[in-house]
Amino acid sequence: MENSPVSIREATRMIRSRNAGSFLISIDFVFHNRALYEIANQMEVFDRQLIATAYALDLEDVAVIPHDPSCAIKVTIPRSVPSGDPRDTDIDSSQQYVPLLDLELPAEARSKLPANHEGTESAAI
Amino acid sequence: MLKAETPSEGLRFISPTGVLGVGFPAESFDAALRFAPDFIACDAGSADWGPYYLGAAEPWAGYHQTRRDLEILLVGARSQGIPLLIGTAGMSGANPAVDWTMKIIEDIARDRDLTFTAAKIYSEQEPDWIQSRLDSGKITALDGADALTPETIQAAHRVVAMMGPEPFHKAINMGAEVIIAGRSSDAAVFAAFPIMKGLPPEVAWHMGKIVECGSAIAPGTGECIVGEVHSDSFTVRTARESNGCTASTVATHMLYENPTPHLLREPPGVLETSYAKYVEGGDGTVNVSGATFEPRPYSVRLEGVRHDGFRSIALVGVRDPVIVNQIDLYTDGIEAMVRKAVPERFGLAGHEYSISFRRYGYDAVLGPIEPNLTKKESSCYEIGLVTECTAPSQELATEILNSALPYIMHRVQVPGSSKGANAAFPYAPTVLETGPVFRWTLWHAAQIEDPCEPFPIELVNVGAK
Repeated sequence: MENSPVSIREATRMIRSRNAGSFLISIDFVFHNRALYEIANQMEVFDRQLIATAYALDLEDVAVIPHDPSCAIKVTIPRSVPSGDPRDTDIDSSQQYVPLLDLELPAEARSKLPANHEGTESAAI
Repeated sequence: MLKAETPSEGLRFISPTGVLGVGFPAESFDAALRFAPDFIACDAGSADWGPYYLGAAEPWAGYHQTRRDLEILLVGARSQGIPLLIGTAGMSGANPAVDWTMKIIEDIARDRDLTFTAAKIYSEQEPDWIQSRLDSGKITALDGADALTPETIQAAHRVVAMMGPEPFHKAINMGAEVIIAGRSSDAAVFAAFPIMKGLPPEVAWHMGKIVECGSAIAPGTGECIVGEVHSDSFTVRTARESNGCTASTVATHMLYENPTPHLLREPPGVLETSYAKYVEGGDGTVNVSGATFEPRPYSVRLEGVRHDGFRSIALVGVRDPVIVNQIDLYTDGIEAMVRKAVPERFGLAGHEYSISFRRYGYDAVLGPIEPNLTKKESSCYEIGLVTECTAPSQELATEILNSALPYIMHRVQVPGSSKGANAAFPYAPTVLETGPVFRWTLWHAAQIEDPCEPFPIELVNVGAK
């Protein structure tokens, strides 16, 4: 356990995917603290090519945007079809973070986890 | 209880809830009223739950849900003599949804013996007006939507434009004390009154974005949000004392339903928050400052839908492991039989209807990017199969699906299966009608010269004998 990588769920207090308008998906990873956020940024955990592969997109379709005030990393990608299209599977994009749940922070991040943290909270309405 | 605070030049507001009809504690709103607010604003809709609500002009929150929240807000606003601003009425802001919401206002006023001037602000746009904007080169596609064509405009079932704060200003200047607006920028509903009172746009717009979803900035509290707008910053807090609002929870809201947390495009310009500061006051308040606002050519988003037939669905459970493991063979087999039968039975060509499957438990949510399928790690033992058909009429959609039930049940033979029946039906009637199908076809920005021109205002003397 001591030397195992830190899963993205462990490292964050919220993971949320939603529509950003009807043609884009926005996925937010809000870290427990600045130390974990900075490790994620420095180690380039959110590798654009890896994300493009997970969603079957081109590299240029993937935006990874850090937000210092909230210690969050946002991933914005195009929807495969507009929200509510007959082929759409997830009208508000609310489960579209799932392909990124295998992301990990390196083991040294484990010492930065808050004591007794409760893990990821549910997203706001 | 709120501490008595010295009145200042700041403008005070209540953001009761993220969406009208979702509910909020009445006690929290009472506490918010003791904050001596200057206005109450609330958003009543969103495009995020898909194109249906605009197409059908039907609200998401029904009469009782909406009336419960609206009654508390209206009675509170009238008791203080302060404006009540409602944006994106009835989920979509379609004209019938604005009328529907005003009818609830009138019902409440009659039952509570209230008299006041209200305004309806409409936001639907006619094809000729949209075409004239297109002809003058004033329309651009947003977020990867297709370029707008005259055919798309003509085929649209309903189109709204998203208003900024100016139509709210106009309605207030016309004497409105209660405003029921069509499609509105979420932030504009909150920014309108502070901008009208001369507060700087960067503060007003940043406040509008932060509070547009009510207690989302105080996760888990469900509290109404109150705040105060000053010339250099604004504050927010929960109406009753809590530790709900922190610098982090407030800042996190800039991420919400936004392609980037740093920029927010609004009708009159762009809010930039890269250098914003979020500071806790130690008393449950968070002070926010440091955004900038850069004016741009005035531009409203057009949201429009096309009507694409009617849908019926059937829920089917698949549990036989042999069928579960050959689900493609099974669903492909059903589709082939439907495709073979429909031209002769219903006289429809292949492009006039659709038959498709959502395979819950297998790949229904993530489709072709489902990691368990790409890694060949499926441990699926049961599939919830939603079979759906869209056709030119509701009746045909239902009949096509009804005629597919025998194929689903036993006509498709999956190698190695029991040869008896393939699936379990949880409901009778098995085929359920889900109504008309709409899709987004307009998602474009239209430059306009007069921010009020596309948004006609109608005053209503509510409660006048």
